[in-house]
Amino acid sequence: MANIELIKALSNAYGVSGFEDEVIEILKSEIKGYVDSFEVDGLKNLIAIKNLDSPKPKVMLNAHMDEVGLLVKGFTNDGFVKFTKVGGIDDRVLLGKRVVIGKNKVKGIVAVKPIHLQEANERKTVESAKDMVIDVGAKSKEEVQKIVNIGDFVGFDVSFESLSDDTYIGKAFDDRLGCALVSEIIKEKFNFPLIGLFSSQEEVGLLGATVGAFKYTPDISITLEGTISADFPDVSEHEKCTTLGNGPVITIKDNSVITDHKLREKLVKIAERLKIPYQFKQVFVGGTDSSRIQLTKSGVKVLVVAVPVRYIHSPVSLFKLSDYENTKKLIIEFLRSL
Amino acid sequence: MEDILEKLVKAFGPSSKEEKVKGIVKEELKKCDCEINEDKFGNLVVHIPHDGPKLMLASHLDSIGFIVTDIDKNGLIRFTSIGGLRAAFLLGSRVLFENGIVGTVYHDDKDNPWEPKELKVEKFFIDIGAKSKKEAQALINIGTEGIFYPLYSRNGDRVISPSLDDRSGCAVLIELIRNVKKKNLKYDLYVVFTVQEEIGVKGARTSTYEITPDFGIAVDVTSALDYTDPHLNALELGKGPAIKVMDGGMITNIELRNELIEVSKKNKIPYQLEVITGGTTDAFAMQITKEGVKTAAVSIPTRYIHTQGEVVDLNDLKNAVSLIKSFIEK
Amino acid sequence: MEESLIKALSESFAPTGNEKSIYPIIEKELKGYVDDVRIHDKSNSIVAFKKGSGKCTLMLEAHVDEVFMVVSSIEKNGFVKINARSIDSKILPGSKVIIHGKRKIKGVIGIKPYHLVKSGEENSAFSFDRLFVDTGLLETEVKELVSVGDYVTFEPQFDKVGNYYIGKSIDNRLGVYALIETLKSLKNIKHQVNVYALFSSQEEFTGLGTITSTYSIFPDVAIAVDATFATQYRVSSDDGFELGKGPVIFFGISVNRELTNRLASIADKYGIPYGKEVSVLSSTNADKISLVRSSIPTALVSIPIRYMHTPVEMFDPFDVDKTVQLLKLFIEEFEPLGDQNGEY
Repeated sequence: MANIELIKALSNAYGVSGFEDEVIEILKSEIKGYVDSFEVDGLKNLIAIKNLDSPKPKVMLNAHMDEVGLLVKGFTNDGFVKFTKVGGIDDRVLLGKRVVIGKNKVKGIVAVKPIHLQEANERKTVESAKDMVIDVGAKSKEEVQKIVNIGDFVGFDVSFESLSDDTYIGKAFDDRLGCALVSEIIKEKFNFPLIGLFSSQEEVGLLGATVGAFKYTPDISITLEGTISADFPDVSEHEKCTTLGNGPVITIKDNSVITDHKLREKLVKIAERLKIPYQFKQVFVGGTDSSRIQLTKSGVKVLVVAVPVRYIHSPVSLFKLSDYENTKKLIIEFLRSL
Repeated sequence: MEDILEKLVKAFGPSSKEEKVKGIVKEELKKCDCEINEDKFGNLVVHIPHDGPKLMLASHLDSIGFIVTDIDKNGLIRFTSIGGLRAAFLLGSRVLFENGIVGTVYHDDKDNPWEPKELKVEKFFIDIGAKSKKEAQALINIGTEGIFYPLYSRNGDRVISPSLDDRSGCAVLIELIRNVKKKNLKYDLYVVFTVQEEIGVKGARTSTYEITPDFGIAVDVTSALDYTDPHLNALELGKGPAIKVMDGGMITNIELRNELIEVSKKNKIPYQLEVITGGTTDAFAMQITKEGVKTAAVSIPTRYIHTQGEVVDLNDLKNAVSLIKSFIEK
Repeated sequence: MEESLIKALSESFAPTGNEKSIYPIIEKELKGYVDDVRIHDKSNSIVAFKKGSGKCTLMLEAHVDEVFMVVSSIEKNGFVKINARSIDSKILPGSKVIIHGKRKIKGVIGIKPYHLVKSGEENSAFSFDRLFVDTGLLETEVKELVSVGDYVTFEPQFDKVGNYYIGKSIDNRLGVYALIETLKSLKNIKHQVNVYALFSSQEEFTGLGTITSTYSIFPDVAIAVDATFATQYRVSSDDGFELGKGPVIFFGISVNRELTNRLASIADKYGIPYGKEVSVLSSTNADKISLVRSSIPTALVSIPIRYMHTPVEMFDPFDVDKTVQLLKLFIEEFEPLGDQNGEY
């Protein structure tokens, strides 16, 4: 059974790229006792190591800890907060949303002009994030500067909830679902070395993974992600990418990598043999940590498997637990076959 | 050389599926007395040991290609590109899939069926002659790879074919290995036929890390824009291999580049100097690996790169062989 | 600020990919102040080393190359066509340049006389393919002296303008100056940390110098010094920092926040004014240093300049002096960063 409490804690934790500390703490306490050691490197990658002395193959399980968010850039003279985006956020999900700022979780909202006061043409377009501000309820620039610092992170203020037995909403399922999967899988017993790379700064350029496989370099790496599911209205058939409920998503190719053909064929065979539902990612877009791990030193064979998630990179993403569980099952069976 | 080139360009080998091309290279090098191995990443590495600093020559085996993303309800194939497919040059092209199935490319612009307004791969599809989705699914899967159908023709010194990028480079290196006088080598020579160049110079990165050469020379194609009047750049077919100064991704090492120029002058080999602003090669990856590699590049001037009809002049390939041979031998 | 040194650095030619000619100046300045100076052969960068009493290493980094143009072809009658990265073609009409061929050749970039310009054409910018350099030489002379691929740089003319100075390549000769002066200021200072100063090549293109030299050095921490935007005509405080208000410390995601906070604390402690720059990536070598091997905690200090990537880059010597002061004090008081590892 999937560990809903773990997914909830990870989803609610704040971990905007560069500020993954809260997520690191949850993961450390979760896998304590199940791994031999862990390290946090200069870029805040969390690396967990198990059975390093066992015979090959050296397997890496990878998921990124960071989520998209905002970064405090400055203040206006009347006490509002100016920001810049961290990661790929559509400007159009920001207006009127609740946020928290910095370690002290200062509450704020993204300001929006009341509809009554908007001109006809204003109603048709959304301003750019550059022109938006956050209101923290301060009366002056001096006041806001006392509680908010330039360079503080800003995260969406959203809580994890269930919509039904199988469906959950919350933020950051891309990629806390991956983190939960890696944590659960790494607890199992295997005969080969296992390295858990909980990477940082994926959303801003796959930065953590660029260095994360250098010290402990695997032979094979599986990146576990939360991927695009656009199976809803307003999207044409061949752009839907994946479908909720149809099982783990196997990436053949995206903008950054072509996954290893032989390993992928093996994965598919296992899914078919055990009748685990699976689907292929049908819009070959996006970039993942796997592309950086692949090019570490003399090369690594990589796979990317994901849980389909609707509305990623927004405050309200949505996934089905059955997809999560099938992903976990598929990966564990694949690892047992090595 | 012509025969090797023809065999190479006709082989199926889009990025990540270079096996058939590797087979041809290995076959062509059967009689050479050298170590041939495939490295961890799939690159084909030929090592001719000798005293001297390590020199790595590289050309890439892979070509750009097509990859199937969806089969629609009419049995028409949706695809995306492997590497830099140029949308404008796909309409009407013939595609060959790995299992031998052939298709033709058209577009889905309902308002402008004769002349599509948007030239984007998302708006194109491949018709393989299937009558239904079911029939198409029996022939093609999501993830099946394809290439431009190989149509090779030769007119005197000039060859028209897809995949001259970079089977030309591979032909040059094969010919070089077959003719090199091993006793006279100045370097401990590694000749690497790399994989996955078109999707991020990947094979070059990992093989350079593994070999850790002192020097590197990439052999790839460069864009000759000499078909208009006046020419759009300074590179011309038939005027010799181009010694790269700069491209869209890097500047070559000055000392190494100058040495190549000196060798050309001394041996009366025609050459050109390459300054282009777009595109890059395996040299980019080699130069920047670990503590750095002094890297240069010798390029084959090629027209209409990344289309079904690329054009080269065989004399440029032959002169590229002479240039590199003179550089690596005493 | 030592005006003569900045002038000498600004007026040297070290275009991306051929930075060697500036190295004698750097070597001469550092002689007697450092324990070692050597060229990093594979990338043509230059590295200086000053020993400290402890084990930790800190690398100061500044790129030594300047933006450049390149000869792309030689036309009939000897006119030279050029191409460039990172240089706005709009500043070229009417300017003086130097072609670095077999010798340095002066040239001008001229355009059609105004009398012949048609109405409607007046405000359209010239792109590189319409511009050319006139050297006043015959075609045969040009072909003898100039090849495709030769560098073309702005003509040097360092000067004082009001409260500030202008010149070419202020980006990043100010950084180079800051590293030199910081090393000099440490002459009789006892410091624990061992200091490397990397004057790196090719930042304006691939970052080759910093990536490969940093791989060789692999310091424990690094501080990059580069130029950033100053407020100026058409650049507001949204995007730039005022001249004369001190260096700018980068508070972004691609650098190490702990190291950055330490740098800011030193500035606060000694009353050094500074600005805070925020964005995800810095688009400087700091981003690249951070990603070498298994990662290196890196911080970035920038000196604001106006008119970046033109021959008239402008700066305030106060900002340069404060940068040197900040780096010197930081090195003096440096202690190794904490370790977040654990064993279970």
